[in-house]
Amino acid sequence: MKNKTKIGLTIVLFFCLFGSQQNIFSQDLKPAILDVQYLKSDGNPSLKISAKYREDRVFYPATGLNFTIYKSILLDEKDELTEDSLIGSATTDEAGLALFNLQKNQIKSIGNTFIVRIENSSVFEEDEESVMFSDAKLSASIEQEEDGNYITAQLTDSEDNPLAEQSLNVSLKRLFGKMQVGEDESYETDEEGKISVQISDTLYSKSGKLNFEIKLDENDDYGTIVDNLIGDFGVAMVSKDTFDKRTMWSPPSKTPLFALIVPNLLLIGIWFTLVLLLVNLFKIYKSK
Amino acid sequence: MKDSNNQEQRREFIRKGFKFGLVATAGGVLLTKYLSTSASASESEEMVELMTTEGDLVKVPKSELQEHHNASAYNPREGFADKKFVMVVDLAKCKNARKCQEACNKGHYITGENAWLKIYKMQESKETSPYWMPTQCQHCDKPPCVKVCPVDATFKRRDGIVLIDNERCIGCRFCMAACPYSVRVFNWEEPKQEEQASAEPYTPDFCGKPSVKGTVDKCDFCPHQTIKGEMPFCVKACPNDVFAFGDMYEDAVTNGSGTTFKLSELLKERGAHRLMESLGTEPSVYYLPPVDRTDDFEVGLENYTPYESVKKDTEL
Amino acid sequence: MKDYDKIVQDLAPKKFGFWGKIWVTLLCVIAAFAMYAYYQQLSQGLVITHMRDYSLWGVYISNFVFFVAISLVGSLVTAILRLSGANWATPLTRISEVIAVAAIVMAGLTIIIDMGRPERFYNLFIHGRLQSPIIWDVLVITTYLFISLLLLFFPLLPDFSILKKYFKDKPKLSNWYNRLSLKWKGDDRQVKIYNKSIYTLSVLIIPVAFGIHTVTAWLFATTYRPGWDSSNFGPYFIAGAFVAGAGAVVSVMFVLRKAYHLEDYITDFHFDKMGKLLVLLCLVYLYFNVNEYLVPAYKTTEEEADHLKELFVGDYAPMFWIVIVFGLIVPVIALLFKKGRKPLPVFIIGLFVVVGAWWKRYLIVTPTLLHPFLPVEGVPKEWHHYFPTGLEWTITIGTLSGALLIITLLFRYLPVIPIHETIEELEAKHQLKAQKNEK
Repeated sequence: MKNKTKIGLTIVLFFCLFGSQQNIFSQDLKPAILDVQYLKSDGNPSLKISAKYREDRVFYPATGLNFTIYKSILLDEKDELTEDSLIGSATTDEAGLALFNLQKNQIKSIGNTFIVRIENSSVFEEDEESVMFSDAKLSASIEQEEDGNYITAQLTDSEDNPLAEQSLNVSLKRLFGKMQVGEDESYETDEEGKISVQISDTLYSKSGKLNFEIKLDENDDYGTIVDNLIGDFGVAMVSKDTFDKRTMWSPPSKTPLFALIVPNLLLIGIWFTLVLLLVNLFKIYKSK
Repeated sequence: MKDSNNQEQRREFIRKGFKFGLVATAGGVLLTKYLSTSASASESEEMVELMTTEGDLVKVPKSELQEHHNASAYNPREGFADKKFVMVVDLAKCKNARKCQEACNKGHYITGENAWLKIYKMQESKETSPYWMPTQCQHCDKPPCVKVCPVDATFKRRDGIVLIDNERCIGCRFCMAACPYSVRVFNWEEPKQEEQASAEPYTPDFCGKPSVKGTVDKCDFCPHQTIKGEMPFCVKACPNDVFAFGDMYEDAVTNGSGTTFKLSELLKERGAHRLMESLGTEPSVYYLPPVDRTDDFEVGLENYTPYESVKKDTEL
Repeated sequence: MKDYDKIVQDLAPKKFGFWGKIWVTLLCVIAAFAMYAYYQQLSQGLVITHMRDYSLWGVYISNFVFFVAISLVGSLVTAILRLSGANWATPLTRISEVIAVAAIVMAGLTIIIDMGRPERFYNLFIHGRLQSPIIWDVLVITTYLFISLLLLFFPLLPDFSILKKYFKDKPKLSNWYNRLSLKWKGDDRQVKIYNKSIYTLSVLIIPVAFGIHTVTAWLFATTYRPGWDSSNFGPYFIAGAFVAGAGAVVSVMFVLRKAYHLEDYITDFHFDKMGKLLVLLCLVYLYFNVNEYLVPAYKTTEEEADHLKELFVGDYAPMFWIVIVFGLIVPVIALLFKKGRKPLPVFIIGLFVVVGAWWKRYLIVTPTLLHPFLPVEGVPKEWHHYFPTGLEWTITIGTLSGALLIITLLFRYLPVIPIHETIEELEAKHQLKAQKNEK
């Protein structure tokens, strides 16, 4: 082959190669929008990872996305050298959320750093997100006083020092959402890190059980800390259910007695007479 | 001469090697691309629209969905014991956006000419103010439709929901004549639903899945959603938080944004009423009057289509 | 017994003549078209009608109510008149019973035609709810049909016995009459049972007849809709049924009289009497109409006012006034005159009454449905109106021709006028004459 042709072919081949490479990277790997939160629920620490991506102005959850999770370990305090220690992995569900449970011994009192990374994803670009937090404790209980029920909670750091002026939400879990309990939307902890919420209204529950949630919501230093409480002073409302009663809108097995007896009596009376008349026809036939 | 020959041979070898290398890399790259295309979930897969707990509308590949349906846990004719579903419709917020109707139509595969949830342009008299009123089955506690059904095809459950058994209905339409709220629709011909509607065995607690020719359909208060812990399609779809739904025995209703209210307080403070209360049907839907409206009534006229309540595929 | 033979010969069922055959063929052709139209309905669904979600009931239901109304004539002429000793009505009893049976059978078929899933008919029996007016209707209709059949059959026994002898040169026919006569000989024992049975049936059919049309009225009155939500509906429908039934009898009796040359037996006197009866019934029905329409008009309740406006001056006004005027008022006026009570005028007036009755029921069913409590919105423009489609009309006319076919075919084999009773009455007359002569 002539030299020029060779060079031409090479150039074409080169472009094809690059062209197809571009294809791979621009079409299939999408940038994901990540969010990592520290969530401590009833004393159990975890990382809450959410991933979504944007396409045509609509957000879609990134499902089935695998994250590798690392804990950042300080090797040298002076030089602030850190090492990422692999502690596990998590995959997002159909809502693009993943919950990774941490061990209590993985949490220090302050300066925890965890990193989640997208590695080796065929759909999403490699990315990482980190979360830094200090540990805190939340303990809540229900006090039954003379003038009603109180929900009390105390927020302390991991060394039992009270955390004051932190905002706690107190809510009651209902079928489809959380209902505000007490006067205010949120309550500030006092110098002792405590709050006390009076429950003045009647709270209803068929089983009597009330599921309360006391939450420090997305705090910059401590993450999200949730404590669940079960109270048993829920009032059961009288059932309005007529399913077992005899009504005009019940199924045939529960017909009101009047509707059952009167038509049947009338029908039996009339048909009995008609049967006798048929017997009469028979008698006419039989007479000699 | 030998040297130049060797040089030539070396060059030739390098050239060939280079070419081979290029081809190999190109081939390898192309092969990887082909493989990854077939493995990943691409744009061509069907997406299903869902709403997250934060209220965002998201699309999820259908293959990722898992049915949480626990069909054996309860009897569709009896429903949930210890629950009584109620709905609150805030007429002060309705702007006739019609997202509720679209979500209901889509979720229940409604393809006829009459939607189950309709937004009426109401005006009591010439001097009083017009307003938009979304109306669906009221799931009355003294249902006139259930009273007149001759074959027990429509029935009232413990949880207050009134359902229809499309496998028993004989199509006499007496229930439709008896209902004062005009919420029932009839399948006058074979419904033109997509295959998904007939994908699973029929159960009365998912009306429209599938619809049956010659029988009656209506709003079912979405028990197929509530059994999963989710709210009805209309409640979630409304961009203006018009609907709130909940369990009366918890004295709580939650709107589309997730805000939960104490039902008794809401009804008392906002002066709630029910439709046609004097007929004695005892509906399960409460209406909050159009007072302190968020928008003028005229805003809703943009979407007003008096002769259409179900959008056909070509328009979507 | 020359008279006896002549009576039998006059009243015995005859073969169809030329026009008879044409008539039957026409009815069969109409029925065939109707069956084709129904097949279309079964395969495509009720969409072939013009019924839609607002006009959810249409001519099928108004036709059904019409048939139930007509069927009451059996109890009127056969039972009430008989029990009250109006012997002049005896020649008309069989005509009334046959009309009643035909009407009730077609009523049952018509209601099945209206069902969206007719193959699930059996659900009415396995899952029936006694709280539902439809179940009451099913029960009463079945009962009434049975009673009507018995009330038709019993008086036929002596006639069958007579006919078996009359047709002895036609062995097959004679054999049938023989079997159906249940070995009737007319001896004392049989006569005693016979009289008691007919008396019982006559008494029994009256409350059942009242029941059947009251329950049918309650299909509407148990709903909230204006125009239907009336405490007057039961008696209103019954009064209307008597009018329609009487109109049907005079029409049919005129035709049969002509077709079978029964002028000696159904005389001008009968038409005169029926004419007077029709006047009375129409006046009673007019009274109920006044109660039904003028009382709500006084009050102007919102929904009622809209409904009445439609009927009095709105879209339905022409139909409404034609039905009231030509279906009730004109008949009353015309029948007040002696000339108006001659056979032909009575026949024409009877037709007016029957046609008026049919459209009256259309006016009861349709306008109310198109005026629901909430506005009619979100549906195509065509859904705001109702008028039956071609296929719907075909099926409806098919049911009407089916009723006429049943009547025609029954009278091919049953004597139009009870032979034995005619003979008995003639004998009684002779006896009286003889007694007078003796004096």
